[in-house]
Amino acid sequence: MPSNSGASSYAFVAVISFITWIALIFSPGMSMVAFEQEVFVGLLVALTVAALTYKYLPNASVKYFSPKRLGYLTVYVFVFIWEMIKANVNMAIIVTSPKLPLKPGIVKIKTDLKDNFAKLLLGNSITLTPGTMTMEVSDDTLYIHWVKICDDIKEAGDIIKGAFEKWLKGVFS
Amino acid sequence: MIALILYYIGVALCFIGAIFFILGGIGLIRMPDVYNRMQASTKTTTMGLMSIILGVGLMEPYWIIKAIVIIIFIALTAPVGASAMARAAYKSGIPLWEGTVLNECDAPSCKKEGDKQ
Repeated sequence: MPSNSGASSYAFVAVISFITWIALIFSPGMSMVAFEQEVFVGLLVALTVAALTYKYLPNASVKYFSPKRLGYLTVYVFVFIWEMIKANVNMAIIVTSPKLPLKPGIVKIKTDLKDNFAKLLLGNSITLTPGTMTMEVSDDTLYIHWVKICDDIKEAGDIIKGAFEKWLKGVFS
Repeated sequence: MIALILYYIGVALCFIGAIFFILGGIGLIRMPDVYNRMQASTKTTTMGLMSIILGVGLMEPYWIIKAIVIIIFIALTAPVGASAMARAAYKSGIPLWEGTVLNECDAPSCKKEGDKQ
């Protein structure tokens, strides 16, 4: 999606930097004057950072702030947290069982996602979900190390990607 | 009263995080090869770290927003490090465990160093 204008990605980076600044600086009960000063400095820093870095993020765009995409992102975050807890319980069972029930292998799956950042998020999610770890991404193919491989390799893609791909498609389409 | 309840929830989260760290350590010792060890250690330590940081955030409500920002940074960066290490291990020719069932890795970019010619 390189059809973005520079202004759009500049605005995106500036807003994200500013939100991060406020989140790191804000503490409940701080005085109003101190808060105003922090907001002022935060604005300066966010605008400077955005000016220095926007050209390295050509896919960033203000369109990601639309309520529909943010809704998809929220659902994705909750799905991700749930999957992560499941992954850890699963790993705890494998690690503590006396006969390590391992059946590892590297499988190759395809993804429909086009955006690079979407692929990064998909790879990250796969790494933190039950028994799977992304080893390499090239174009639309992900290579995944799996601790306990399933019987039918054709279903591997659906099992590994789970619900993530659907929600990420909503965010990045 | 609410502060006290939050405090105890925070303590519980720190305890859960510590348990996950222990499990990660056990996994690191028991797993047979680099890739499986990487799986055991990254998942459990990421979860344990998030749990502990959230617990600290709940124990000291002044820090909760900062704690959440740190958790987001960890969630974005820890898996990238794990993938990079696994890929580096594969490229430098560290063998898979003999019980490995399947290896479909044929991307040009994950060829081993020795296979080039």
